[in-house]
Amino acid sequence: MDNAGNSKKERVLCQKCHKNPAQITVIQVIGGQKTELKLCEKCAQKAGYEDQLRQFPQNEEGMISELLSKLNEEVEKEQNLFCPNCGLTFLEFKSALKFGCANCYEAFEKKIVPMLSKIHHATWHVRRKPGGEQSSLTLKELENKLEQAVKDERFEEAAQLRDLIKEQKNDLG
Amino acid sequence: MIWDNYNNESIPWLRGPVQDSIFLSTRIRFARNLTGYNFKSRIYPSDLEQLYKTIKKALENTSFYSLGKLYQTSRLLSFEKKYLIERHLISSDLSRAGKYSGAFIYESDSALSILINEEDHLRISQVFSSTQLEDCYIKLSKLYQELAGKLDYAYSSRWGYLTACPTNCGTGMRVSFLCHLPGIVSADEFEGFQKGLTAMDLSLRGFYGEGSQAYGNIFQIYSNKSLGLSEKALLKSTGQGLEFIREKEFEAREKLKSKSFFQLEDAVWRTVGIIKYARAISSTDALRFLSTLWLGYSLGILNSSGHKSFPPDLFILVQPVHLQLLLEEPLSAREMDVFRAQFIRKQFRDETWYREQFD
Ligand SMILES: [Zn+2]
Ligand SMILES: [Zn+2]
Repeated sequence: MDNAGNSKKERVLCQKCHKNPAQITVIQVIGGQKTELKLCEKCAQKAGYEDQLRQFPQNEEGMISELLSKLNEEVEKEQNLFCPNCGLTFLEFKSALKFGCANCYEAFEKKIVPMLSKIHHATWHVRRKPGGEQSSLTLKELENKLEQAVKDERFEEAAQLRDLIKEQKNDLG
Repeated sequence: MIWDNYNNESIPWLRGPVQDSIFLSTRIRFARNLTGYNFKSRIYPSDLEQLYKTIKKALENTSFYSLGKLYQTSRLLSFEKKYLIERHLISSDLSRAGKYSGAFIYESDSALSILINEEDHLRISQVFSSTQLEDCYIKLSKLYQELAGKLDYAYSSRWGYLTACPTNCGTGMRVSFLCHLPGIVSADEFEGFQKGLTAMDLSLRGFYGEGSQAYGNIFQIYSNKSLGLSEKALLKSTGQGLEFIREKEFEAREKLKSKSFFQLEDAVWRTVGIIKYARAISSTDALRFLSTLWLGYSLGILNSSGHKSFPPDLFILVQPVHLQLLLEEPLSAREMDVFRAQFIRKQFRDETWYREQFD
């Protein structure tokens, strides 16, 4: 395994085998006490921390270049984004904070979710129904949206969707 | 001239039957855009006329069209536009808007104004005096329903009514209050109060809107959430906001009263003296004095002979264009200050319930 990234720094040895350099830090809370455990790759795998290992690229340089290329990709995507109906670019929208037409909402949907969530603390429209608030989507549609939101880690959106689903189930029941 | 259609000696919808010692008025507005047209910033110039005509035609076919009047902005003199802005019937944005923008206005016990081609294709709003939130909603909904049947609005199931600004989508509904907050301002509790408002999804700006100053301790407090809650839910939460504002202002007034009653009494009576004897009053001073007098009446320092209320339309009637209308000749700024002093003095002398202090 490649330890080039770690070799420049002081080496910390695995707290289990005390042989290999430590790769990940596992934080455990036992009986209200927080403990940190530094492990090497092998011991971590044995202890079932494979997920955490995957999140940390083995090599710092690799990690940085990967981040940079991801960032560039995002910026480029943003620069090229525009509404096909009115021609407003996403950058123009970002500076004036005014949409050019009704279609802009769809064209910029992915990008505006965080902004609208910040303004309204919600990202789904609801209407008044007897006994509660309701979305105009069906239960099934809402459930699919919820699944996607959780998958994409859009948690604030997921929370609103969960409430809407609860409302609709109450209505049905 | 536009003002011939209105009462310029008192504003009926502010001097309404229900009055309050904090709230001048309650406004609800809906923002809407029509399908098939781009929004204001990207609309084709050739579409503007068509859009204006479509909305005009829909308005002409409503039962309330004959009650009011539709003004095309480009046909109004700048003096007339200022008049409507002073009266809070149009926005300064609309007064600057292009040829095919306009306002339908109708005043009675409440005021209705429908703005065409302002930031959105349509802005429909209704104002009632004091805190008549429920009545305001019922009346506006009725007018709205009638108009909505004739127009096709841009709408999506995710974002609700689609508006030019992302702050308005969803219901497109905004509730706002004009309120008089001398207690909170003088008790130096503004910061805490503003935090409280933010927590309730409310914001605050000056008497004449964004960026304007809060002359006379008068503020506009408005809801800033329109997505993710229904009209009824917004009505409920702004109703709670209203109670919060009232509670905080009363608390601050009580605190002032117990901590520095003498100074307060002195300030009120000094103001009575100024109103009685000053020979010229500028419009910003006028608002300041009116605020102090209103506070004096609501704390019982001045006696209102059984009437608890104060005519809140004075805050608008002392504005330059409104004063000018009462005169034949145009006045210079200095002459205007002289006339304003006379006007306010007369208002207080003529109202029987002020007579005790202003004879
Ligand atoms: Zn190890
Ligand atoms: Zn667009």
